[in-house]
Amino acid sequence: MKGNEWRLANGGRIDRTRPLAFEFDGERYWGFAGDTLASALLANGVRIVGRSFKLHRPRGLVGAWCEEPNGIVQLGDGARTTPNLKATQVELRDGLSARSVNCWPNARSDAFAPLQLLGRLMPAGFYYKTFMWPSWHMFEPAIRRAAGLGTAPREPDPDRYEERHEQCDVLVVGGGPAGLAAALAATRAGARVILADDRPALGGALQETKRIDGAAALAWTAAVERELRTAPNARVLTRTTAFGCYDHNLIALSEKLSEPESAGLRERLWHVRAAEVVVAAGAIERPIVFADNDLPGIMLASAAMTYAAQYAVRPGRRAVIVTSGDSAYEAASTLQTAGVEIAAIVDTRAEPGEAASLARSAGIRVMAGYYPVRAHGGRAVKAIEIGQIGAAAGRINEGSARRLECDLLCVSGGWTPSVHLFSQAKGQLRYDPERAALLPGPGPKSFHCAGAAAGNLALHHCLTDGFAAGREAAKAAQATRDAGRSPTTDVELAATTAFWASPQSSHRKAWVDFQNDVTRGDLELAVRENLRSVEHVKRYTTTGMAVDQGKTSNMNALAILAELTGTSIPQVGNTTFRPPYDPVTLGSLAGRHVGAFYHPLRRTPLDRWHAAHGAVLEDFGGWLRPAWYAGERRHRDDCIRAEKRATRTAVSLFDGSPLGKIEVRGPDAAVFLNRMYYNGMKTLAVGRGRYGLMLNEHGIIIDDGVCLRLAEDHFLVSTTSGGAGRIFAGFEEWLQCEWPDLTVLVTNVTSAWGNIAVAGPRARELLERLETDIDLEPDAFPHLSIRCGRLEGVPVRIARVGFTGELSFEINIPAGYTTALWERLLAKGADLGVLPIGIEALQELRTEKGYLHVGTDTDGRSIPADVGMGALLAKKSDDFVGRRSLERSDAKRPDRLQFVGLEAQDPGTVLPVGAHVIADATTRNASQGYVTSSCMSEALGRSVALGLVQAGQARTGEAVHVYSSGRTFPARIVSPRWYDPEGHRLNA
Amino acid sequence: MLEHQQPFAPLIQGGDTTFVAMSDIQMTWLSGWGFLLLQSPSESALQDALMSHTGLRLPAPQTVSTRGDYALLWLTPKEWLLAAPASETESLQAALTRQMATCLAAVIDMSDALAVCELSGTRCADVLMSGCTLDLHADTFPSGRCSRTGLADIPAILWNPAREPRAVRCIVDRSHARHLRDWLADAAGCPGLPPAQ
Amino acid sequence: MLQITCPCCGPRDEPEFRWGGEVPLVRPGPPEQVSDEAWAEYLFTRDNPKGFVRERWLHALGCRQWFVVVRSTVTHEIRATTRLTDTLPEALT
Ligand SMILES: [Zn+2]
Repeated sequence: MKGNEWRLANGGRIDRTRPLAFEFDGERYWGFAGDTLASALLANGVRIVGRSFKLHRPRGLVGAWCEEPNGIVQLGDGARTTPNLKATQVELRDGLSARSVNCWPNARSDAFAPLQLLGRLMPAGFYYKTFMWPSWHMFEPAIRRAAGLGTAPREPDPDRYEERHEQCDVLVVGGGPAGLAAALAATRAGARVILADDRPALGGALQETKRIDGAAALAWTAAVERELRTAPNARVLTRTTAFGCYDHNLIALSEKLSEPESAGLRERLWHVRAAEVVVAAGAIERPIVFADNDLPGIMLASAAMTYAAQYAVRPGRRAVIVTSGDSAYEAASTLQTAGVEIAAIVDTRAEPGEAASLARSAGIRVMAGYYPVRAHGGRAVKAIEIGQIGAAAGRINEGSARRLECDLLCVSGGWTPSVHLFSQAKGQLRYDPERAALLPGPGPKSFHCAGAAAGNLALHHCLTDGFAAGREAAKAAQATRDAGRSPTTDVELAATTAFWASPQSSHRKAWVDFQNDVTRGDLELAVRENLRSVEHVKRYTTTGMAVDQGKTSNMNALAILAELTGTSIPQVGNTTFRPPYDPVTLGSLAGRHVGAFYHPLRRTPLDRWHAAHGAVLEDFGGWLRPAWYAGERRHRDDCIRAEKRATRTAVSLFDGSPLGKIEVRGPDAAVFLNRMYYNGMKTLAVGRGRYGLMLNEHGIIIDDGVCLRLAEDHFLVSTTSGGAGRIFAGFEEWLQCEWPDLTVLVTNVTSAWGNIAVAGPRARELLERLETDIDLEPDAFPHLSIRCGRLEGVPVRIARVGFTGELSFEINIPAGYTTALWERLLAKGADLGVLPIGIEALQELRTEKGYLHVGTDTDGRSIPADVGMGALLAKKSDDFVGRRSLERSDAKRPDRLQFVGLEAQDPGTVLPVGAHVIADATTRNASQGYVTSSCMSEALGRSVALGLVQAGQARTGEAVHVYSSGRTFPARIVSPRWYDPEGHRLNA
Repeated sequence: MLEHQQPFAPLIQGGDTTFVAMSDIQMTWLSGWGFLLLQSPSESALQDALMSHTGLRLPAPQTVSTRGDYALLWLTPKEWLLAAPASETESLQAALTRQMATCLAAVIDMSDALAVCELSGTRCADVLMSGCTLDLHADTFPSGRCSRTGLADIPAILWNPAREPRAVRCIVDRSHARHLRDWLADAAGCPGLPPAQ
Repeated sequence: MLQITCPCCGPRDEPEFRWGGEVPLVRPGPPEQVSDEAWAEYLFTRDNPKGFVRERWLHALGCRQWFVVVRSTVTHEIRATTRLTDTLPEALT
């Protein structure tokens, strides 16, 4: 097979028996199992993996994991396409297809590349300053296209995502040496442990060459992993990023499931409530800021080492290493072993110490006290110009300039501990000048930082530090078994000094933030323009605001700011760490809350009957209910008309099961309900019911319904459908918090009872055909009363209440009998013309009757007086919820919106719901209210509407205009009592 | 007389109450149960009534007391749920109501209001904890434990009935039974159930 | 997402609860003796301190009991949770 010219002949943690074919920017390549997309591209000699955000400069790989700023790719096509992934984190698989995001047609030959020439014209704040008039939003789409990242899929995501809640004693974040040691200690101590690591395999940055407890490092890792995976009290999660810390130690983890094991499950979002958290998330190496430091071929020393050691890829032929600390010497030796010629190690330290001596004795040239001035090259680095640090600030010593040819430039400006979670948990960071890093300072007691995340880079420190943190965390969680002793290894050199940016550099091309194309010059401009706060500079220059959230750029930006403002890093302060640490997919956050599970719907006992009989089921207040029953190919409106006709001329059945049913009992039940209702309930006779409004303390109508008295100390409160839970909770709140002295029991029995409303002039006739011990005659059982008895042998509560204006019986029957009763009523009433009716018909029936529907014909400001019930206030002497608010001046304002009827001048016009009532048809500029319900009434032979209109009750008869979507309809304000105003039918 | 349907009846076909049968997780609607909701501020009177008619003691918070075919679940400081064979609920309701006549109490038949689904198998906790924040591992949610909580975005009472075999019962409002079934089956990774007709 | 210890049920996650505002909140009455100012005070005015606040929460998805939580509005630290029938904890600052 062709390709993989840069692959080493042996070594690495790849599976050479499993070659995998893949595509990048339309070209075909292959790699091995165990590769990332990035390592496979490098193995195939692909050096340009992306284009910079603003200027479209060619960019190569800088990192080898989540710190990568340049290799941003879009994966796959169609519904599964995923934007903005880092090539360094994409595990290679057969047939994988990726393309770079910020370029067209591809990263190699990008049509937007000429933008580089405009670099001088696009400084920090360029977009803010240039595209202000008339509005940024006018330019935004075009700019986003040129400077965009990936594209979101258009089709619904076909994959599954899952949530998982879990609790543990100790959560260890990071599976490197410190994390492994911590998990080991905590597990042995007996704590419930979760170890989460974002890579496919544990071990972190552990190099093969190390030895721990006398074993090869990877063998040690495998042994620890085995011990943890077999322990009953530990759980190991790989490919799992702890991306956020939320209140009270809730840590969010995003687990990516690898293809073969997942069975369609792509990601799992863990919500882990951890008593103790060990942050062993490692550290991220920093680039150094100098001119043209973004050329392809310039990468972090740690990344170059990883490519060589883990992926068996030679990242270059001849390397120069520029470093400010000891850690890059290990990279040099690893690269040398991999066959890379080390041209020199350029150490910014004048006296680099033991590490340098060791390198020199291994034959490596070390240039101490030099720093990088500028890189040379076009589409790849060709050489690095260095100079000796001079006595005068910002100058190199005369004659010290050197040019070193190389095709790989490894940089190491020190390490930035990954303290994100600690900081999110409100832990404070303190600057340690010796380690040139922000380290965890005072913070929550339950957080333990260990290893490189705590600034301890050397392996022997990581192990002892991690083990101690694990043991301490376990102890804090009351797990105190003997954990044994910490794993040990040889002492390692890990000294470092602060070196951020070369003083003498062409600032315009010395990059601080690769992904957002922010240069040292941009920071200088921001400071010149007097931006001082680090938060302002960040937003103005957008440094640290790309999808990598400044993993490689934030510290350098802080240091440069300190230098430019003549202060220190602690004085500059640092920007806030916010979740997520690494991007999380929307699919993962949505989990299974999609489709039918987006919002759970409730079903009535008749659900199955409705579905089998053509009901069009819709969501009404969280209940799936019949909107209407579709007959054979009949039009919606025809169906609704037939349902209305049956109710007005014969008899209909309505499934009212969702109606709230709350039982209230006890010696104080009457007193309590009298306080809960606007209407007086104390005087209600046993066996009778009364319509009532419920208000909140602001006097606003929140619900209505009929309150029925079953016995002296026993009431049945009916609430609006969907209101039961809310009203029931309100009852309990008042009883527990305000009136604990009242002896009352409340029970929500909504689901225990099915409810069938039998309405129409022949309703009684139908019921009389059933076997019952209840006297249905009007004198014995008048309107607004309730009777308990048996119907077809089943105990029922029948109430004479309704919402249609017709003779109506609401039968409450134990829910399990609802379907049988419904079917019996239909069978017995077939010759009477009985029909089931849906919500739409009911709404039109009650509209032509002029009945108010709370929430439809009232809004969040309506009080009883607004709906024509103001007079009752004077008749009730007792206090009730909301009473005092009805005496406020606002409640007595004359121009309040009031419930009225509206008739269009043309009886054939159905006024649109939401249309506004306006005073003047020509100016149309002052709304006096709006239409809330509207329908064509066959019973009345004309259209009718209900609405809320300013001072409406006093304006009965007045002509108004109703305006909607450019059309104006002449109309009249009327009393809404259109249908059977005397109530003969209701009381029949 | 009218035909009675149990709350889960619309969700099953051919009388099979089991809707998930995998090697490591099974889900079944429990049939033949009746439920009485007991409310009373007079704990001792209620205790006496229960003792004489069922032999049950009032359970401690978040626990269940059981005796023979009866189980009594703690719901709130003033509220308990008595589970009994469906054939006995009517007579039990009458007996308890009679004995509690002199003090304030509510004995309410909730048999038709609640649907009970039993999960069994080693994957119980895994499936439930994908939609419930309680720690439902066998050691932290032991037998005899019952908790009212949220499951699958709806209110639910979870009840661990026995040490062995591993099982958790989920008691939900009947109006949510369909949602619970679909959600649980989906969580178990067994999609493609036929919709109830 | 907070973790709140219900006096009845122990620690549970925030979605099981409902917030109910600061306590103590005294409902003035009888209505005919309450001035507009006093009523507005009761409806609208709260201390809203920076620091610890006593407030009532409902364990809606659990035991359905209202109880008192002493919570820091700065850090969300919860100092105490007590039953409504217990003495109200001292106000902390
Ligand atoms: Zn509780």
